[in-house]
Amino acid sequence: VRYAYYPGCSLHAGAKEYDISWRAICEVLGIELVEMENWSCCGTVHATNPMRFTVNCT
Amino acid sequence: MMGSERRRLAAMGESETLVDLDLEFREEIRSRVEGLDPGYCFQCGVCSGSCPTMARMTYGPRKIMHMIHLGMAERVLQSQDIWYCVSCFSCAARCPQGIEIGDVMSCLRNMAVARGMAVDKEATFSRIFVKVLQEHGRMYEPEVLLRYYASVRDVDAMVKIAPLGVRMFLKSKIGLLPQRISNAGELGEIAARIDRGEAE
Repeated sequence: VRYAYYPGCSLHAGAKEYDISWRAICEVLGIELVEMENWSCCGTVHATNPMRFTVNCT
Repeated sequence: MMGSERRRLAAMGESETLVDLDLEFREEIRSRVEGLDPGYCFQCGVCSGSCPTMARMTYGPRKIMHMIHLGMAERVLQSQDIWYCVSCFSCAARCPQGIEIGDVMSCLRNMAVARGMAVDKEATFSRIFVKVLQEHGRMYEPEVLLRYYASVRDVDAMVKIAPLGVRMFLKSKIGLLPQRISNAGELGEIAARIDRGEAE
């Protein structure tokens, strides 16, 4: 089975242990993870609002 | 103001007068947040009990909901609490009335920005976070922190957090350089379009 994989910034940095565990689990389960090319940050609290971006706080 | 409302304010340790109350405030939130009218909050407090950042907040979601209801716009919008919300949505998931409290919080952040009332340093943090994001397309914490502490001129705090950065670097949780995506500029363009109201 192949799945597209979006790790997000944290799984490449501060929480990389989750990335390591997840990849290990998927290998055992026979799941192939294909990391999306050129993915961008999800924006977490600071940029994702249901209505508007908090972003433009200038 | 009804006597009972005045007593409730007194119970919250506040001394708002009628002049400070903005009764349009809750109407605006009601019109901007989907789902149940926040006025249906019956103050059970499960939201504040579930909130992971409650310890850092001044009021917490339960009191914020009450203050919205009373029209204490200025105090709510200038509060640090709306910036301490991490959008985990535990409050909304557990709310027995099914009010979208997390959405109310982001609505409040947007209103604070729109009214020029986002004075808390947490608002500065969010602004810098998003700037870095728009430049690289991905998060790079060391840059966010350096720019944040520089802008709030808090060298002490920066020095205090530095050992954590070193420990993370040694565990390769922080890279020497930011990761960049090839078309980060498009993020800024998307944000600008949303800001112009082209894609709400």
